[in-house]
Amino acid sequence: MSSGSLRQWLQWGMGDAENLADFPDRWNPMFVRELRRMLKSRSFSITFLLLLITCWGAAVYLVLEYQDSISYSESGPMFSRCFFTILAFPLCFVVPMTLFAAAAEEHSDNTLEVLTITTLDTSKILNGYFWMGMAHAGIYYCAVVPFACFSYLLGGVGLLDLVASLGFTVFFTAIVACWGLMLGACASGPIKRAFCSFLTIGGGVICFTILTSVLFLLIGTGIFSSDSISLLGGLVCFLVFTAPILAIVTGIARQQFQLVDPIIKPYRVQLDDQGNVTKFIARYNALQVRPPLPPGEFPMTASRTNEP
Amino acid sequence: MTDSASQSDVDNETENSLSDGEPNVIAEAPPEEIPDPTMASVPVDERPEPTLEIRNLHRFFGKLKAVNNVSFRTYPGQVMGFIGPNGAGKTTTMRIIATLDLPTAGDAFVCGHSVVDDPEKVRKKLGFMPDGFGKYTNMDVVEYLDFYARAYGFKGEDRKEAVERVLIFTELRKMADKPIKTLSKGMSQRLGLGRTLIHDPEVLILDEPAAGLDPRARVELRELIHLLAADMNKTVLISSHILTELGEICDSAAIIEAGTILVHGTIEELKRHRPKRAADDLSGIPLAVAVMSRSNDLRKWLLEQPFVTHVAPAANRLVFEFAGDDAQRADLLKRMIGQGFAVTEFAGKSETLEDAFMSITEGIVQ
Repeated sequence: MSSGSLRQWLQWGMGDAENLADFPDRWNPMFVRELRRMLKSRSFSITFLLLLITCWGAAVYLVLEYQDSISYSESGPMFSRCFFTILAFPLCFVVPMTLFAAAAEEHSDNTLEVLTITTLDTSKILNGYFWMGMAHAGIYYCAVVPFACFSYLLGGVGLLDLVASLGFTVFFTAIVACWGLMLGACASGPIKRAFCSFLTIGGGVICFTILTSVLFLLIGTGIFSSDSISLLGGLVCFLVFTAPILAIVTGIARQQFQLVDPIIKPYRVQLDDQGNVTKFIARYNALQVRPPLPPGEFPMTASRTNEP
Repeated sequence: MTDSASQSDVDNETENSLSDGEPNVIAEAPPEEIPDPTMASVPVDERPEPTLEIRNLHRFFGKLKAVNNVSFRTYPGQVMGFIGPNGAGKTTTMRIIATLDLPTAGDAFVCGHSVVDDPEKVRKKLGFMPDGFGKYTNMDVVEYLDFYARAYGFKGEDRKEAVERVLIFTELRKMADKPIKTLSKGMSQRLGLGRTLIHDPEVLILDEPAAGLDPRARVELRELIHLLAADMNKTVLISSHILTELGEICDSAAIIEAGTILVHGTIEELKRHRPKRAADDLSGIPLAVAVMSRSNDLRKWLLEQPFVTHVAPAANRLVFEFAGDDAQRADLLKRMIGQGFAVTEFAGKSETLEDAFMSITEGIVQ
């Protein structure tokens, strides 16, 4: 790698006008925006450093604690559980809270309005946020991967165990990300925001408990190597249970980000001379056309688009 | 364009929905005329297509009529002011035009596209700058603009060019790498204006763009808006409480109160506008007269004249109120000179948009 390209790589996403094209055009604009903001945010840097330091500290502590027996026992599961528990903390608290804060921020100062009048639709906005959360989590995974490899080398942990644990963690991250995103989308006022942030933390606590419990069961017990049918059955049950929840949560978030209901159309109203509504005649049907209405009955349903 | 099958469907629907015996007058009466003050002197056939057209717009929130039968048109290169007290319905109207709200009845058209039926097409033609817009943390000016360029579908070099064009137009090039949280209010407004221009819209809706700006920033913003209309042929609808600013940049203005447009006309028409007086209303317009000598005699003489009240000396002239019309005012001057007074100055207070606003609106709060 030449020094020029290395410098460009180091400056990647740091905001120089010359480097704007570095993010591909086909990437979701929301994702690009949030990725840039994430890379600059102090909370992300601190969390990442804390995660690294904690993993290092835990590794050193465990090695010192079990230095006499570490060579003779398969201590990999103990180390893996420890590292995955540390990883579960940012995944269950930092990622959903970041998404919650980012989504809730859209409700303040008309940013959602400004966003709505662009060509971005609600799905793109939510997808961008979601993938930002997953990218966030991905960077945290990167911090833990060397430690997971270290625990694998200690023995007692199968590669399948580690991969399955990682896959399960990714899936769980997606669930908590959707949860945080939905609550952020609902947090349109200060009271709602306080309540929803409480729910986000509550959801994080529940997810953390479930995730660490499942990981303790998965790692080192040989479930996957001994009975692959139970693995498949468990995964199917898990998907069946979580898929509708995810659909509902995403639907709520989508609805909350929609300023104008696409189904509701204006009424035609009948007015008296003073402009008082005397009657709501019928729901306006945009697909039907008719000649202009007289004064007093609106809207004119003739050719809603006055193009030649 | 009328489809006979769907036509009959609508007829059936209307007949069904109207109460028994109610006459169906839908096809007989002509459509309501939309006021068009800036095009009054242009024959109807020669008028250009309006870029922004509001037709009988209504927006009710329960019993509150936030917007009540608002209609107007604006054309390319025109700046239209939207003036009204707080809660008059300006922002609601603007939000409907910007496809952020739906009307209870009526419609708005941006470059011929209905805000109800074609909001996506409207959004491509329209730039909306609300009175306050969020500043994201951890974001530079150039990143902010780049994001909106992406959001409007610009790709590759086009995107970079769009960002660069806006940075140059708003004179934010030197601040491109500054975090937007650190921008001053004036610079933030420039950035907001830049954001609305990123996709080069034909119609701009600016809600209170000058609010909270210092005089220099206001003048600079005014110049930018003037450039947009005069040089770039954009249609601008602008609301503001700073009426002196509007008076200088707008071609026409509409004064709205309690959801209804009270007056719509060119700025000069609005300044000249006088509400119809009641028969017992004796209040007049202030006039000032200066003479070379005999000012005491003039004072006594004025007090004897019809329509003249409240005569008082001020500096080296006399000020008084005159309740007559323009012909009577001319007659007063003629008689004054005929009496041998050496008149050096005879002037009415110059009318401003603010005066017009105060005389037209009644301070109604819904």
